[in-house]
Amino acid sequence: MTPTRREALRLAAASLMLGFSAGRPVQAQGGAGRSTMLGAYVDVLLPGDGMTPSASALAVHEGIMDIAADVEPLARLINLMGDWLDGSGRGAFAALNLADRETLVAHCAAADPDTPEGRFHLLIRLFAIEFYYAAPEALAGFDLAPAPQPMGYPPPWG
Amino acid sequence: MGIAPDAVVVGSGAGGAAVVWRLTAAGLRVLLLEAGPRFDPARDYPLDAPGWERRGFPAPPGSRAEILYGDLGDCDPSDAGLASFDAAHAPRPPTRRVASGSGYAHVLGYGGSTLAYTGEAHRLHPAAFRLRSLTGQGADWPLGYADLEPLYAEAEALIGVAGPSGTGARWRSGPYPMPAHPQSPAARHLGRAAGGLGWDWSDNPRAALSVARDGRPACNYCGQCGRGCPLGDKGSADVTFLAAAEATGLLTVATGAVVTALIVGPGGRISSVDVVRGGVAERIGTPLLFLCAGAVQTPRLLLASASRQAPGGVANGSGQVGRNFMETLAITLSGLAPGLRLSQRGLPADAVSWQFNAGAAVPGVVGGFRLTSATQEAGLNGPVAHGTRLLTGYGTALKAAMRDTFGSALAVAAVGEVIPDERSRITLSPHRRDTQGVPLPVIHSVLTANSLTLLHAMASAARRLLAAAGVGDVVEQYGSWDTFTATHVFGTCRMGHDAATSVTDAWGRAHDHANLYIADASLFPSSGAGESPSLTIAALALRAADRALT
Repeated sequence: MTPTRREALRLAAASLMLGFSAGRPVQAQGGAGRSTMLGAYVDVLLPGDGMTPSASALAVHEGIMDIAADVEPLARLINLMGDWLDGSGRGAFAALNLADRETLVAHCAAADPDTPEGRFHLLIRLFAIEFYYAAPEALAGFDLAPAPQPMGYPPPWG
Repeated sequence: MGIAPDAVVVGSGAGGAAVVWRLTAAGLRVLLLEAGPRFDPARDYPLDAPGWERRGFPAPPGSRAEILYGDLGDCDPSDAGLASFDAAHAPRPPTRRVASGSGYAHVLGYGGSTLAYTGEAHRLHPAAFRLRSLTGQGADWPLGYADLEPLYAEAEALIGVAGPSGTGARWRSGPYPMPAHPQSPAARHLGRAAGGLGWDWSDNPRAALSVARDGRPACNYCGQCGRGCPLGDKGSADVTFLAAAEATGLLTVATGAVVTALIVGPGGRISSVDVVRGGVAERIGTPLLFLCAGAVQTPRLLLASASRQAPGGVANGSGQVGRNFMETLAITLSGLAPGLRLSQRGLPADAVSWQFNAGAAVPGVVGGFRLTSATQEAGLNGPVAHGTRLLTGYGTALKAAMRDTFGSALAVAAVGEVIPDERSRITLSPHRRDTQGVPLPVIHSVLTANSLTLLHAMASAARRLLAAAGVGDVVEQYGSWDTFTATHVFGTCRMGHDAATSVTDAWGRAHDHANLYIADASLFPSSGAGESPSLTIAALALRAADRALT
């Protein structure tokens, strides 16, 4: 990732965190647990199908965790929501059945963006789409080459 | 730097590059001082690797200047229809306008901001040179279209501009050097819509080769001009003017060379410049100096060079240095056009409408605007942008929508006139300095009532065109109302006949210093009505160099 892009992501994440209470309690958690939770979350956002793999199969959650390592407010939000998702009463989020995971994701998706749930969903969805569709494996069914060069897309264009 | 130059040129963008080409072609030994690095297209523009959409134009150390922002104006809730939004972010009208992440978008490097530009090669409309005479507002240029026409043609020839066969109001002494590029599916779709509205729609003149020439290949339509052109078909300054100047053997290039002051000598002439390169400070004498650092850094350097001989700053006897700042007034609207396919293909900004560009195009407003097909330039030709900016939802529905709708994105960009205002200017920060100790520039830029009315008209026209093209809902809108984003900035060393109200004469020579020329968009007395400025900058630079050579 270029410094520009990393900086842009950092700024985007930081700006989307504006308005959050800095004093919200955060439980320290191991990175592996958070990554597992995030992997399960992004798989609800971008599940595998007959043409393309799931988000976690393309390590999308690891890319997001990498960004969070540089963006403290994002790491804090992931910790906070990890606690919330894992503490929903039925066990760790990643261990829930698909229907229960989808219910929790739907709750986050419907939440106001100024709440932790809503902000978490907004950010993770954007990052997940970015990492996922940057991977050539996700582009089956698209009229795209893995990269614009060296061939370009000469006419005719239909 | 090891030579005694006949001329020193500061900055290697559209203006500086044209100057060094003209001077070296005339046999002068030129030292070019460029603050940024030299980019290697093969290394720095890796568009052949997966993940390309996550990489913008590179930003190695020293390739961006530190810019501060002052007064950018308020956001009146009554204009909230101009607020930025996309599929993921509902409009949230702010109370104060802020600088976007890119803010004053520029590149410090060998070739300047042309390295990252789209490459629209516009001539100004002839009426733009007579704005005050025609409207009673703004300022006239001290020259006319006819003065620049042969220089436009010369710059187009060297760059290899591909343009339409018709001329319109911008009369030509000869045809474009190259045939226009084929219009993209998005441009053709918008063109049919424009035709239905009775609006002008034509091939946009582009600094990208439609035919291979001089060792440069023809464009292969990767659609990523703004990420840097790895092929060299885009007519950025490094592969055109600068390459030709280097071929003379008379050009010495110093990259990473930051000019910190202009020194005024006897008789008011500029005797030398202070430069820091690799941490080493040096004073370089020169009989002739061209300052081509753009409409932010040029006035900054002049103001920061204040001395006993020039207490208000170099070339600032008029007090106009830094004033009359004009930003890029712009708004881009996007949506999905059902049935449209392959809108991601083709050359960015390949078609333009001059329908509202000149005359009394917009009732009650001074100035006009232009519209362009903007799907590729807005970055909507990649799946990441499509999914993050144009679509909602998640899960299997999102993945299906991605496959179904990618290729149907349609965007229209509008860029319009800015009239100078007393509040919009470049000043020096009283508190912050760069690593060389030079005060940082502060951009103050507010939208006037004229700009706001024009911006509403621009948004309305873009919306009408999209609707005529079958776009149901505008899914994304971003523009100048709530964020300052400027790729084109103008006016801060205005040229004119009167030394009391302008910084340079009609050739770009400072009224106060006989051997100091300015050759960048600082000179523009008016912004034009949406025309991209690089070709006009080059033409003005050639004119300034010609004057210095006489």
